[in-house]
Amino acid sequence: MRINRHKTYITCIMIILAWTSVLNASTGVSLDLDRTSVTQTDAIKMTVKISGTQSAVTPQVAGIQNFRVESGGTSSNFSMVNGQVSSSINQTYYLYPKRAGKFTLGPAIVQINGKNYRSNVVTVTVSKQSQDAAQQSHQPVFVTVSLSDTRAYVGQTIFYTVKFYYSIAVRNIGIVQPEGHDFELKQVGKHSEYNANVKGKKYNVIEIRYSLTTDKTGIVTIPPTIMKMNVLQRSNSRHNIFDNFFTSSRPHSVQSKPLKLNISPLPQANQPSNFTGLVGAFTIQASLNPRKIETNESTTLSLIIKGTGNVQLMPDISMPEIKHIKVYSDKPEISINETASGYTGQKIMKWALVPQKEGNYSLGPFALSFFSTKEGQYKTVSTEKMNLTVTPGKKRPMQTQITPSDQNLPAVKKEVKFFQRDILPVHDHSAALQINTYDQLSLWQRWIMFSFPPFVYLLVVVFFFRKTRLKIEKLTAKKAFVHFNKNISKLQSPKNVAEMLKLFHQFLNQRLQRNGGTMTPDEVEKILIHTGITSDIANETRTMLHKLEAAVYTGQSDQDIEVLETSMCELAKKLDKGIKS
Amino acid sequence: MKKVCIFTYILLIGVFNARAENAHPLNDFVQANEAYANGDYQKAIDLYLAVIQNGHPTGSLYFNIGNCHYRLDQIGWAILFYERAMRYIPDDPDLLFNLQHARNQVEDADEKKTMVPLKSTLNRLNLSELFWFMMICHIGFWGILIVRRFHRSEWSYYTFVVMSILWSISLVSFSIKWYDLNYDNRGIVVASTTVVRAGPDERETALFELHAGSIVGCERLEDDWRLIQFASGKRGWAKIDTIEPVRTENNI
Repeated sequence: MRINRHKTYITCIMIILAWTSVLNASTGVSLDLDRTSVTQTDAIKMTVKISGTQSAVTPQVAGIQNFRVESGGTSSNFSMVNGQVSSSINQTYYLYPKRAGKFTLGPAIVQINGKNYRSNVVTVTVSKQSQDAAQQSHQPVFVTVSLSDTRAYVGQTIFYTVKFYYSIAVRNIGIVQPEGHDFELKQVGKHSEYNANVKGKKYNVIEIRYSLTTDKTGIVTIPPTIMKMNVLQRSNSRHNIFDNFFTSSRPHSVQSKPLKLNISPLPQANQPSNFTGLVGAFTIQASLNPRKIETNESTTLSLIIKGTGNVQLMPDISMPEIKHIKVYSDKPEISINETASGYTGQKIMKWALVPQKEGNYSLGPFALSFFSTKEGQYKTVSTEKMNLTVTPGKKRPMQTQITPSDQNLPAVKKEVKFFQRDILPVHDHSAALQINTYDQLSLWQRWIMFSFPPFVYLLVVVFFFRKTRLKIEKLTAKKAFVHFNKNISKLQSPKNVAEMLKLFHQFLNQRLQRNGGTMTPDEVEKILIHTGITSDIANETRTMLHKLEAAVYTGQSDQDIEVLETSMCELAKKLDKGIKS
Repeated sequence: MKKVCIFTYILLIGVFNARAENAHPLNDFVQANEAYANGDYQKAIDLYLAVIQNGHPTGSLYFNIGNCHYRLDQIGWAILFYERAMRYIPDDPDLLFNLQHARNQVEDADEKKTMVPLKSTLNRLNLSELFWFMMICHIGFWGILIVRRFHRSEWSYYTFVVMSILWSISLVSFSIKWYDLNYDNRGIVVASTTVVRAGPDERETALFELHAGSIVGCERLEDDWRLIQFASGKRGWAKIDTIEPVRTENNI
C-alpha cells in the first residue's frame, strides 16, 4: 500500500517536472509597440509579452524615462494545441512622450527562476505636437490632417494622415475623404485607435493613413476631410425616470483644414539611361550558386532588388546574352508591404545558366537606377562582378532509343500538293440514270400525297366519332330503365311529382335515343307507335304524362302519389321491353 | 370506310406506276460514255442531252455534260451544267470537286457572299430529300394527331410537340428550297467574253467586260439583250446569247 502511494507521488512529480520543463523550454520576452511614429500628444501602447511563465514578474524596460508611464493591466494566456503547452503574460503600458525626438525602448529585462531574459529593442519617433490639434483642444470633437512631406517629387510616396479626436461619446462615425482630379488616395492598412493628451485634456483618437499618388507637378490642394457622427447627449427631461439609462443622439460633423502639397518634377539633367521611374531608396544584390560547375550542368543566378518607394515600378533586369551559355529565366517574384515609412518591396529574379563549353565566364555587374528623394538626385546601384568557372564534363551517350509509338510517326508532316489539276471523270454507272423520286411524281401526285394524311385525319374524326356517339347512345338507351329505377328510389318521401315527371321524360329521351328536350304527351304517343309499341301502351303513356303534368301544374291529382309512382314504374318497364333496340 | 380504303389504295398504286411507260434510255447513255472515252465530246454531249430529253433529267447526266464542255475548253458551259447538276446532286463530291476546279479557272473575281447557316445546310440537300423528309414529318404530325384522338397521354403530348416542330421545320425548309430552285435567276456567261453595256444597244456605252464562267443575276429581256447584275453596283445589258440561265424550263 505504501509502495503504491510512493509510486503515485513519483508520477505526479514527474508530470510536474515535465510540465515545467515544457514551459521553461519556450521562455522568452518580447516588446511590442502599437505605433513607432507618434506626436507628443499621442499615447503609445507598449506590450511586454513574457512567455513560458504564469507568475507575475515586473519587467525593467530601458529608455522608458523619456515617457510618462501608465499601467494598462496584465493579461495571461494559456493554451495547449496538439499537446504543445504554451503560457504567457502580457503586461500593457501606455506611454506619453515627454518631449519630441527619437527614442529607443528596450530591451525589457525579466528575471524568471533566477535567470535574466532580454527582449528586443524598438525605436520610436516622437514629433512635435501638431499646432492644429493644440488650436482645437477646446473642442470636444475635432479632426486634424497631416502630410508626411509637404514637398515631394513625382512618383514619391506621400502619406496623408487623418486623426479624429473625441472626448465625448460618439456613434456611427463616418469619414468623407477628400476627392480631387489631381490626386488619388488609398487607405493603408486598418485604422488605429489610441488615447492622446492634448493640453491636459484626454481624447480618444482614431487614426487613418492614406497613400497619396499624383502625376501632376506644382501645387496640389487637398480639400478638407469631413468626419460625420452622432453625438450622444442626455435627455433634457428632468422628470424622466429613465434619465440615467437613456440618452439621445444628434448628428454632428467636423472638418479639417485643406492642405497644400508642392510636387516637383524629376530633374532631366543626369538622368541615367536605364532609369525606369523608380523613386525612393533601393538596393540590388546578386548571387551565383554554385560558382564552379561542369559543362551541361546548371547554376542559379539570383538578383534581389529591395527598397522603399514606388516599389511597384521595380524593373525586370534583363540578362545579357552570354556566348556558350544557355539561359533559362524564371518568373520574377515580387512582394510589397505597407509600413509606417511607406511601401517596401522586394523583387527576386532567377536564371538557370547551363554552360555548353568549359572556361571562365564573367557575369555582371547588374545596375539599377533610381531617384533618391533623400538626396534629391539620381543614384545608380550595382552588383559586383561574378566569375563562373566551368570545367569539362563527362560526355553522355546520346539517347537513340525510339519508343514504339514514335516509330509509326513520320519525322515531318508535309502538306499534300497537287502535281497538276484536272476534273474527275464522268458518271458512267447505271445509277446515273436513276431519276430521283420527287421528279418521278407529277404535281398532282405530290399534292395528293401531301393532302392524304390530313384527309385520313378528317375521316377518323368524322366517321369514328359518329360511330362512337351512336354506340354510346345505344348503351345509354339499354340502361335507361335501370337508371330510371335507381333515380326514382333515390327520391325522398314525400316524393315530388315534378321530379318524377322530369325523371320519366329523361327515361323516355334516353330509351328513344333523343337529344334531350321535353316532348308533349301526344308526340310521345306518336313516337312510341312509330317505334313498335302497341297503341294501348302508347295511349297509357300519354295518359300517364297528362296525369303527371296535371299534378305538377295544377297541384290536383285523382291518385295518390305512391300509386302514381307504382303505375309509372310498371309503365316504364313495359316501355323498356316494348321499344325495339 | 371500306370504299375509302379502296379509293386510297388505287390512288397510291397510280402514284407509283405513273411513269412506268417511259422509254429505256440506257443505250444512248452507254454510247455517250463510249464517245466521251474516245474523246468525241460533242457526240457525248448530244447523246447525254437526248437522254435528258427522253425524260431522264439526272444530276449525273448534267455532270457528264459539264465534263464534256470542260474537255472542249468551254469553261462557261461546263460551269453552267455543273450548276444545273447541283439541283439534283448538291452533295456529290465529284461534282463539288469539278465545279470548284472549273470556278478556279474563271477570270473574273466573284463577290463574296455571307452564307446563313441554315441555308448552307439546305444547299447540301436536294429537293427530293427535303420532300421525303417533309412527307415523313407530315405523316408523323397527322398520325400523332389521330393517336391523340384516341389516347391522350403525356408521351403522346410530347411526341405531338416534337412532331409539330419537325413538321414546321421541314415545311419551311422544303418551301425555301423549292423557291430557290424555281425562282433561280442566276445565269452563266458562256461566251469567252461579253461586254456589258449601259443599254440594250450596240451603240450604248460599254461599262465592263465579263469572262466565261462568271455568274450573274438575270433580269428582264429586251429584244436580244438581257439586263444582268454581276455584283453590287455592276449592272448592265449583255447579249442574250452570251449568257445562259441556270434554271431550265424543259430540263435542257
